Amino acid sequence: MNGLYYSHMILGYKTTTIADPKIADYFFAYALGDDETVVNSWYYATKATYSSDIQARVMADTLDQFYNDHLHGEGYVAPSENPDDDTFYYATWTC
Amino acid sequence: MRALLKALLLASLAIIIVGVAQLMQEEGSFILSPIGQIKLNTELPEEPAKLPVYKVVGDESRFVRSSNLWQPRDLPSEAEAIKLASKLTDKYGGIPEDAKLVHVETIYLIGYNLSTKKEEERIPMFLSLIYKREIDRLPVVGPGGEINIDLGNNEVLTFLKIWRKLEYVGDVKIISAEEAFEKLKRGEVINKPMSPLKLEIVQIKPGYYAKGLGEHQKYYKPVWIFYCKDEFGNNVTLAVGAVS
Repeated sequence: MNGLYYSHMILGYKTTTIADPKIADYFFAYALGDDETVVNSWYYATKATYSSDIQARVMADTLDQFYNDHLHGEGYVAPSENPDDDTFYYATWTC
Repeated sequence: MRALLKALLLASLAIIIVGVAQLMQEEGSFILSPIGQIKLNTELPEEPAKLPVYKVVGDESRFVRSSNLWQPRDLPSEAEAIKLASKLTDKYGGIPEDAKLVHVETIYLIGYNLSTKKEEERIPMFLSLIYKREIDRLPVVGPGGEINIDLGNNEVLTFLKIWRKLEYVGDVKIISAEEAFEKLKRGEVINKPMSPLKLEIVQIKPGYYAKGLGEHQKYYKPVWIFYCKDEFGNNVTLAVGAVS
């Protein structure tokens, strides 16, 4: 997917959300403190921060990136996709 | 003559300004507020005059995570998952009797092709169950008062329970739903949306607000809960303090 070539993935929401700075604290605690993957860190940060009114989503360019990407310096980072195959992977969950 | 023209011009200007202000205030029956545009699409309920306050006397919260959450799995049906959840979570403290199952969902990883605009893959990852707390049949909103369980093949992958032990301390007088609506219009909500929204209020109920994981909360005091729909049809729940 062209928009995700170097950035690998987008972490976000499907619904409107509430302003809560704890989301960043949790995300970095899991991604940096526990060396979790980026997707796992986002999943658990959204679960810990928000109630079930809110739906979160993650989009990644490749399956390898989705399953295995860590923040740089915290573990494996999958290669960027070249050539681009126009397919991306996403998951949505209720927080 | 000149004075008359001047007076007419000023009067016209005043009418235009008032008209624009009214339009801005009410687009249809949407009202402008610091949290966006709000429309009341339900009756204001008759208030209970008083509601109980509870003191937090303990915390049963627990968070179990899995590093292997995201992987393809053969999953049980959603009906089987409900039975499995109560059986498998006993060792983590289980599901209390006042927890109500509100959501069961299979989480998929979806492959989507932008050229063909078609879904190419739909891979089942895990089953997600959410239980919510009720206190004296009143809803509890906010990130606390929920139990999140993710199940794989006969195993618990996630167990997130934000649950405080409560003790009744007495009743307090609460404001009317109408007064709470006035507070909402002034943007005095406990949980502020990230950006201004266009909301239709579809239900109003008294209840309680529970803070999130690791947050200190001394009391559970009554709130007025405004159940809303945004312009995309998503649920947005806002809480306004109800203690008089």
